[in-house]
Amino acid sequence: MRCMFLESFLSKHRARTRTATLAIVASAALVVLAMMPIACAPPARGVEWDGKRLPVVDIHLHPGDWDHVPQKTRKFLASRFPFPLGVDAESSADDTLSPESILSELDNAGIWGGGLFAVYAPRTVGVASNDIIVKDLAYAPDRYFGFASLRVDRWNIDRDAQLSQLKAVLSKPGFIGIKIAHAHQHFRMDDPAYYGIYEISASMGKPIYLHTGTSPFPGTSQEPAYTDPAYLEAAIQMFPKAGFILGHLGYDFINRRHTGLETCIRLAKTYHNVYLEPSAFGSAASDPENETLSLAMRRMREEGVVDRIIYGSDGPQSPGFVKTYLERTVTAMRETGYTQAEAADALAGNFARVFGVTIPKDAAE
Amino acid sequence: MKTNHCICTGLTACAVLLLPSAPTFAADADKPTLDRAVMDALGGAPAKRDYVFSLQGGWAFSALRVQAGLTNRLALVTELESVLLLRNRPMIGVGMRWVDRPRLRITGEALGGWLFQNSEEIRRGPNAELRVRVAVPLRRFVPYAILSTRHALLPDLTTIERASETETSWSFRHEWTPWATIGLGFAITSSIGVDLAINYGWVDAPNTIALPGFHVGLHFGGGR
Repeated sequence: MRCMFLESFLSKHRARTRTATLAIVASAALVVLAMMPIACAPPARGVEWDGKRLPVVDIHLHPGDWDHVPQKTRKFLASRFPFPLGVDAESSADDTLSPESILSELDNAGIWGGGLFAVYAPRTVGVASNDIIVKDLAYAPDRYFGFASLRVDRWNIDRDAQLSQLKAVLSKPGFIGIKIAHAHQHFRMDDPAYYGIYEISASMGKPIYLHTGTSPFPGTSQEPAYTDPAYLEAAIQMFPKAGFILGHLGYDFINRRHTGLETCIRLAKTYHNVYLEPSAFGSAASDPENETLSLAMRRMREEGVVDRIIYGSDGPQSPGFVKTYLERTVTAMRETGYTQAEAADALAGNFARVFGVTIPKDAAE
Repeated sequence: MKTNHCICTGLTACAVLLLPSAPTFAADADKPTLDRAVMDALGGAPAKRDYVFSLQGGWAFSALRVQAGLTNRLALVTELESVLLLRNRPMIGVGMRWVDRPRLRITGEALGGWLFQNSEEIRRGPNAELRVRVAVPLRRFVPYAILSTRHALLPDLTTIERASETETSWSFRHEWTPWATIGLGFAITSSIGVDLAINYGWVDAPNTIALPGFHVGLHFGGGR
């Protein structure tokens, strides 16, 4: 009887001991897990294409500062943010436009490098000064590339000062090009008074990114002389050493159709210094079926100007936009028969060639 | 009624302030059944002489809500909803039990009020909502769902000042918000409950994109 009691006691005791041991081990494991840094690793860099990873550079990104956006445009932008981000647009924008946030968007998309645009359009999209770009470039000097800009709204008074300042900024480390937008800055594409900008581009070897096509921003000059890339032809001819990157392919953002695509392709076929950038119009909001973007990618391939395509998104816009735009572009290229080499050119190769940038091996791994 | 006076004294104080005539959670003949407070909060339309007070906080929508039974099927509903304290919506209306079975409650609610949004884009105007709540009590748990359609009328006054005269005109814009919530409530006691839910309110559909959100809620109820 005593023996049975003892066995029963020991059995219970062993069971308790096992339970206690298990509890201690489980608790310790939980503590160890809790102490480990928990973070989601960013996705692998680059785009998978036929068994190879292709590096990506997004030439078209807008850092900035909400305070320098005109009130009408703030309202417009707030209405474009996903709800509820637009309700507190200022904090959403400040979070989105910081260099940390943009780099995080690039990492999330697997994109290696990004072009940061300065903008001087105080009456339309606002101002992101060259100083902001200088500061932001320092955040990731190996992965960010600066595009300087200049004011043109007091051109009769300060033309020379603005051009000198542009030259000075372009001489700073990290600046590889110039950004202008005739429609947002209200000067004609064919006005020789502004050709000094192209002269600087040619003499310093810094290509110019130009917004082409209409724009949904309040206060934009929508007339053809400000938006139709055909009006750039005289300047393109006159400055063969200046690179002209035709942003948005002359897309009509008001009527949501390709009005300038064929002109852009013709210019690229005719002139060696013309490049094509298919940003913004292929967003999920503007092009739900991805048809507009596919059409542009198909036409550029059919016309043999893939070696002129420079990828850009027009981000960051909202969280995830940079990644989504890349995915949509890759889908469009796959659907329209791009080869691995063509995709590699469009996503980063042409950018590297035009701007003389060396893309490291770890840009796609 | 078993009560718990210790939980969240501040919120209880708020409830008492908002409902000064309500007694504390003392036992009485009309005490709620075990799951009644959370059931009334989530399933809607408390019975006559019952009330429930709800506080739901989350991203991006938070709400303060009081329901008081007028008859056994009809209840008064008042609520104040806020998005990041920038878009506020005080509402008042009624809720009616359509189906009231031990394992299912379906309630319809109709509310009216005013929308105040003070952001880059100021939106103000009358606002109405039709809402259906479905709750399925399972012991202490209350899985529930809400579907609703919200409509706001946003007036704009345009003034054109000419040399000869000043011309003013009104125009109106409609903001539609289809809404869905799916969540789970839990009755801590007969008079106190909590819930956790995900919400999707497509504000200004179909012109916009909206992000889903969530809330956690605390509910107090009692009989009058």
